[in-house]
Amino acid sequence: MPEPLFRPSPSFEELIVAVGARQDRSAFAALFAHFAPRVKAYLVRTGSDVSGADELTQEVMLLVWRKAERYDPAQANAATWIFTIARNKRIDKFRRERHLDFDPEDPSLVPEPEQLPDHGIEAAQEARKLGEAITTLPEEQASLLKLAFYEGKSHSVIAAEVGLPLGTVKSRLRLALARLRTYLGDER
Amino acid sequence: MTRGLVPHGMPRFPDPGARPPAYHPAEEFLLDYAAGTTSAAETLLLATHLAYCKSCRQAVKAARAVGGTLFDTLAPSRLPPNMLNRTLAAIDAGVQDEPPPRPPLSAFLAQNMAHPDWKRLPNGFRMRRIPGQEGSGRAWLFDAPPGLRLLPHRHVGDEWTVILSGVFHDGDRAYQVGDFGHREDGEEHQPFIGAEGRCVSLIMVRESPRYTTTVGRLAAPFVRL
Repeated sequence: MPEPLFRPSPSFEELIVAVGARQDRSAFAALFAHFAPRVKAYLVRTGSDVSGADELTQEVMLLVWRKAERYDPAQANAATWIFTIARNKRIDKFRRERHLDFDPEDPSLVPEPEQLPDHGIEAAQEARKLGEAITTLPEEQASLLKLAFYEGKSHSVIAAEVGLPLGTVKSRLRLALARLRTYLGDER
Repeated sequence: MTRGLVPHGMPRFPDPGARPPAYHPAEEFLLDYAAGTTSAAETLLLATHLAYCKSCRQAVKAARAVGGTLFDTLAPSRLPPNMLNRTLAAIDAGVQDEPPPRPPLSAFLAQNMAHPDWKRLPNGFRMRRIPGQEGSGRAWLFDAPPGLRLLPHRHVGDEWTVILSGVFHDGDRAYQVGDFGHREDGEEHQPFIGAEGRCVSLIMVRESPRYTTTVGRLAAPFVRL
C-alpha cells in the first residue's frame, strides 16, 4: 500500500489521547489546525450559515477537548471520531432529533467492545485503506456517498434531488458499501 | 414462553438470551443512520434493532468510518484568525454549554411502557404513541395478547416494526425479539400474534393505514395510527 503523502507524527489519534490524558494544549492546537476548518466545511455544507458555523465549530472543538478522555483509538480513527461529534452537534442544533428523548450514542446500546473483524488493523490504518478504497469507487457511487455524508441528505432525499429512481440510489449505495467492505475484509 | 418479559411487562432490553435477529433493515437505512439523516421515529426503531444486532452495529460502524474518511477529505473552510485562542479561553473559563444528558434507550422504553397513557381496546390490545417527535414517520408501542389477529390493512407509505417480546407473524415470516420488519407502501397484510405470549413491538408508520374490510373500517376510528 502506498504511504500517504502527509502523515503527522505523532498521529492525530495520539494527539487526542494526549489531550485526554494530560490536557495537552499543543496537541489540541495541532488537532484544531487540521480538523476545525473541516468541521466548519461540513457544517456549512449541511446548512449552517457561516457565522453560525464558526460558533458551532467552536462548540464541536470544545467537545473534542472534553470527550478526549473517553476516546478509544481501537474503536474509531481521529477523523471518524470528530466527524461523529460534529454530526451529533449538528443534529442537536437543528432539527430531526431535537425531540428525541434518548441518547442514540448511549453505551448500553453497544454491550460489548467491538472491532471490525480484521482485529490486527488499527483504526488509523483502516482509515487509510478506506480512503484508498473510496477513490476506486465509480463516480456514480462515490457522488451519492458524498451527498449522504457531506450534505447530510438521506437516500430518499438524494433520489428526489438528483432525479434518479429510488431503487437506483439504493442499489448504487449498496454496491458502494459492499465494495468498501470487501476492501476492509469484512463479509457481513 | 415469556422470555424477554419481566413481570411488570417491560421486555428485558436488550434481552441477553435472545438469538441474533434474523431480519434486518436495508443497508441504505443503516447508512442514513450513520450519516445522521434519519427522523426521530426512524432513529428510535433503528437504534432499538441495533441494540440487539451486532452485525448491523458493525455495518453502521463501517458506514461511519466511510463518513469520517470523506470528512477528512473535505476542502477546509477559512476560520476567523483568533478562533483557536477563543476556544482555549472558553476551555479555561469552563464554559458548559452541553444540554443535560439524555437517558439511555432502555430507560426511555421502560418509561414509555410504564406510562399510564395508553389507548386500550376490549380485546386486550393496547397501544401508545411515542410522544414528542417530528420529521417523517410516527412511532408507536404495541402490546398485544397472544393469538390476536390484527385487522387486515393496506399501508400508505412504508411501515417498520421491531419486536421487543413475543412473536409477530406476518405472511410467511415469524418475527421474533430484535427482528426488524419492513412493509412497503401499498402492501396489504393481516399480521397475527403468536401463542407464545404477549407481543410488545415498536411500529413506525408514515400515514394511517387503510383498513380493507367492513369491520376494519368500522373499527378504524378507534385504532387510528
